[in-house]
Amino acid sequence: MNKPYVAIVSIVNRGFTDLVMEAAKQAGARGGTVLTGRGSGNKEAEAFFGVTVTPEKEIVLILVEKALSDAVLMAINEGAGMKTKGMGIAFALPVDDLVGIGETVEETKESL
Amino acid sequence: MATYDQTHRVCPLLFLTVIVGKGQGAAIAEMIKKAGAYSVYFVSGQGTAPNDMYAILGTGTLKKDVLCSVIRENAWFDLKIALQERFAISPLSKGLAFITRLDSVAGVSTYKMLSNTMDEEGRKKQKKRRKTHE
Repeated sequence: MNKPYVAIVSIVNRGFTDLVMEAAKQAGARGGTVLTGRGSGNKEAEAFFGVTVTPEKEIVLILVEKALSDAVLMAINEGAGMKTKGMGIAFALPVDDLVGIGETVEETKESL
Repeated sequence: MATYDQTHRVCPLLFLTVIVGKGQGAAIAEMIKKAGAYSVYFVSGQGTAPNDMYAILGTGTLKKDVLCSVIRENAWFDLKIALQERFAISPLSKGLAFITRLDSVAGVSTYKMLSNTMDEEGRKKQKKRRKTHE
């Protein structure tokens, strides 16, 4: 792997993935993949804070270069974070190796 | 008492995520299983680029198959080359795969299951039994 990458995982309320992608693209991300899911929020916390956590969630998976990860995370937090309708959270996972961007088979074999 | 990692050779585990066009998932799952994975978790996803962009680039459909699995670290290199070759066949077979190293697992049985070593140990025991019978 030539450049270090991270996988940014963003979990938002259903229907708000556009907010995530718009923010991420403005910060330099190219594209992402959306998966559907269901939240299992804490009912007691919901009652205490007076907010309803929508159970239907969408998970956006975005691969970006590590150098861009902070900017993308901050942009997602601004555009689709807890203070927005998307009520999203985002975190970055380290990517140890990657296939599909850059490196060819020959380059991989040479790297051994 | 000695712990499992003191008495056995423990191979690090990797969490593998593969994103490919809809319909390609089954073939990729077979490749992952051939590489020694115990199971492959399969979900449907959607690409976020606009449809016309996909048409121009010819990089496949908007609908995606997302596969998640756990593999042993020593299986990654061969699988990586196999995936690269598969992704290079045509624009429709293009995809993306990445690994994240697992930090820990919940117990020896979970490790054995995820690393798919349960069967290997069983096979070794069988071989030993056969030899003693012969």
